[in-house]
Amino acid sequence: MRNPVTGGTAREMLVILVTTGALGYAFNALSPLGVRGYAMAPASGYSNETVAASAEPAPAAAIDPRYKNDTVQVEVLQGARPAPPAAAPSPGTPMGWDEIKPLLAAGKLVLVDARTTSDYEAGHIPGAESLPFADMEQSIAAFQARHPKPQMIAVYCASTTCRVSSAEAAILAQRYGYTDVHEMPGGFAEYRLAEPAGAEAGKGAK
Amino acid sequence: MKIELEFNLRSILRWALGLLLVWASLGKLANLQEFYGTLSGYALPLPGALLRVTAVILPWLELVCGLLLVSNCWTRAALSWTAVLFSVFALATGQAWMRGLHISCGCLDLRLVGISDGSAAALFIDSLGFALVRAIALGAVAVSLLTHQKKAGAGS
Repeated sequence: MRNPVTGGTAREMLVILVTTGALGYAFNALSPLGVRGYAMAPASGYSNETVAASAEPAPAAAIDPRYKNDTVQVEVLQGARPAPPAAAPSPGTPMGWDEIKPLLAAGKLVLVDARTTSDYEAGHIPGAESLPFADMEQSIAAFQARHPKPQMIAVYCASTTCRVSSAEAAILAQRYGYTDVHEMPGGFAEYRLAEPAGAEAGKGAK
Repeated sequence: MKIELEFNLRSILRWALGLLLVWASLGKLANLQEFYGTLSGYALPLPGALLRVTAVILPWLELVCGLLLVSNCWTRAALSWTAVLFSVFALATGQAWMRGLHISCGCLDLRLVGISDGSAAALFIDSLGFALVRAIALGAVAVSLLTHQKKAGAGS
């Protein structure tokens, strides 16, 4: 016999799920910081799997112009990211600015800024290279040409509350085979706290 | 007197759970792309499409459940979803912690409560180990409240 309490709860749970799904998709469509990948129709001839399997940048004409400079590259990268093989390297131990600073000064480490290009241009750690998480697919070939896989790399983003640095570090290690990748969890905020004068000097400079 | 005290404690716990869920949802809703990046950092063996759907829906599920718990409306359903959410959080953070992934949990926007980025408190609260313990504890609270709700519903 059907339990009215359980049955009512299940119905309410379903209503909550449907409501949140509708709210989520509506909000995502309207939000400038929404996740765009699912909006691309496979019928357009541009599919995540195809692009990622070829490991080549998607033809510009195949990309929905609304997302040309948005997050589509993240979706390409993430949407088809294969399960990492067992032997794939994983990011190493996190590093603080105090560890990174001497290695950067000695030229032993490449510091990567995973934030957007506009954030990078507004101010970054001097000596850091811009490799925006959202544009990795486009920029990775040039990055790979400049830096061989054994190169020690540290990736940072805005602060502990942004997460693209850990995601980018994982992708550099697992997808692109870099063997000595670290995250700087404190990010630009940690640098600004440690070097308030340096942060100002870093503005606008690469 | 004892009944009143238990009732008040349950109300406080329900409110705390609700407010925590609302807090957690706001930081994610402010930047869905970043939340998607966070989910990617967990390196879960899930298709990208499922991760994207999760990034879109989960913050709203947290927000709606939180508001329902605070308003004491559809409490059993909200508690059931809350228990499911914290179980999933515990599994996700637990696997990341066991695999030694160096990621922040991405659960709460600490700036909303005045904890500065990069501080020792922020690093601790956002750490995977603490997130795992927190998810298990909060899941247990949700299950406990749900069990009492069911008992009360069956008894009425």
